[in-house]
Amino acid sequence: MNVVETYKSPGNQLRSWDFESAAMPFVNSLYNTAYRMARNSEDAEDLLQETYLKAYKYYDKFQEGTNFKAWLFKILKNTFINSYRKRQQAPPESDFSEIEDSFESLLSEEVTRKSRSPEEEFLANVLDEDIQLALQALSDDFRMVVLLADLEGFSYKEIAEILGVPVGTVMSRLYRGRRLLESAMLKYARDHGYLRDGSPSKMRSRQSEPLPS
Amino acid sequence: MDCDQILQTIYLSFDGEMDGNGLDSLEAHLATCSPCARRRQFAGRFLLMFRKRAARMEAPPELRRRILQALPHRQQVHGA
Repeated sequence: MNVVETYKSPGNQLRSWDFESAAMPFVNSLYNTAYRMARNSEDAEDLLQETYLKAYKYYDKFQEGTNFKAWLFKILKNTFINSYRKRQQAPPESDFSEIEDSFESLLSEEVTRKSRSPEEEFLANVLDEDIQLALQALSDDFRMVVLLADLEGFSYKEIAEILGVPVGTVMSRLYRGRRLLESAMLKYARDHGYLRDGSPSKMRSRQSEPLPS
Repeated sequence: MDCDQILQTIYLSFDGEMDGNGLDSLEAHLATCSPCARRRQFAGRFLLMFRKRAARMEAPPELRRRILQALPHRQQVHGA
């Protein structure tokens, strides 16, 4: 028979079951984020397992009345940074600076066509695969804010809390991350032939702006 | 408000992170600047498309089981 070292009191036992019913509803959200950060299912599963064990361990440190989902995501993010980031392979290089002004390039194409506007064509035809690829190609910092804002619906303030950065940083990373997504998808759309080539050489590339921190 | 900053502001408005005054001056700009108005239209549709179509992975059932089984209070129940 197992020696139960952690058993303390019926109160703690109750709190433990409480943890389970509070934390398990977020398992898919956390897994999705873990998977997208770790970029493979094996690491994502380990990451999630570790996140739940830590959350369980520190559950009595959680302050009632604050956002529990954000608290769980903060633990996930810290676990990722501490244990997983360094052992991942380098992320795929993505430099979309040449087509940073993706929207401008769409606009410039429009003059050559009359019927459906290029931006409509792009939005209607973009492939699922290209959406996922574009997201995966973002660097960790940009990918994380986009995941938290657009897939999980956290506010800027909550994201700032989860990441431990100022709200202004969240804002600029989110802005830049979304623009990079857009550029990446547009590039894939051209590469894969479902958006006619609007002669990329015409595209203006802005003087490289300083990267937001 | 100038056109260079407008897109960032547009995203703030989509995210519900802008106060009434900010929204007013954004609208005032968009009412008179059609390139920026089109920018907003595209940005909004792009964002909706992305939010809707970015795949959500579900945690495999086996992982859920492992997570639950690893929680100490579960071990107590099974080990007792």
